Amino acid sequence: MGVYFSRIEKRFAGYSKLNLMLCALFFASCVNSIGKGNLERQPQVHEVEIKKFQFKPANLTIHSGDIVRWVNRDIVPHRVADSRRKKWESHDMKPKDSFDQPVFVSTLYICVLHPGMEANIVVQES
Amino acid sequence: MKTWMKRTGVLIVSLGFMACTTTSGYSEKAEGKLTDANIAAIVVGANKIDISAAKLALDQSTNGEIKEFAQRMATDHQAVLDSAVKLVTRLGVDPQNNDLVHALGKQSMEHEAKLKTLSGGEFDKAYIDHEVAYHEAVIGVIKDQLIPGADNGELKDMLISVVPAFEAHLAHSKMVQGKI
Repeated sequence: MGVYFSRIEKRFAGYSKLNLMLCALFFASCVNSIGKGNLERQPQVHEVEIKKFQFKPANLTIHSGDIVRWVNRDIVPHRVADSRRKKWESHDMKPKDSFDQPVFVSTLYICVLHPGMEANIVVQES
Repeated sequence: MKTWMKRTGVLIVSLGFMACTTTSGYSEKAEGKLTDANIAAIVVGANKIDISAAKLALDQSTNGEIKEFAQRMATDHQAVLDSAVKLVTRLGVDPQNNDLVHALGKQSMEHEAKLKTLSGGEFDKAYIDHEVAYHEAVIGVIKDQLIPGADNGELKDMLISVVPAFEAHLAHSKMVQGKI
């Protein structure tokens, strides 16, 4: 009998440990996700004004994943794109139009329509 | 090259001359400067001239660089023209032609008549050479004559705001010129 109880005890003991471990893992994941939610930086929106055929600011510093918003305040259309026109490109932005683009790496960008118009986005380490 | 330099020189000198003579001509009548009505007419005329030349290039050229540049001129100058017309209409300024507008119009007609006799590379070169010279000349007139001459503050601000467009076009035209 003693052997029997000791087996049950062992079984329960094992089960409890498993339960405990599962609970602990579940709890930990919850805490982890909550923690991440608090610690992770929400993407910020940075506005770049296009005026008098210039980008203002000409050098914009952001965190990776932040959104850059170009606003055309000229009276002619502009179209922004990464300098090699491989990663992203806006539509032809009419006056007062805007264009949003998440940016993850430092890049030189241009106005496709007006050669010579260019500026920089610098992605800083978090 | 010599022909281009000669043509450029003639255009700039004549535009500068007309601007000066117009100014001096009006000096007796209008206290030494152009009227806002004259300035409005010059802005409207200068933009229409470049749109007209751009349309000719879009029709006649087969060069991608030229066509892209011409399309840019047609779009941007139409936007500047629309903006200028909207402003002067709101201000109640009725554009009034003067000697400079007539000179610009005459030169434009002669230039387009010549372009129509050319084709291929000759057309492209004549068109883009003239665009470089034309933008240089117009920038000079806006900065030296029109901005100082404008009475109305909003008209003056509009003139100041279009200079970067003309300067960007000048840089673009020089870039295309280097490839033709």
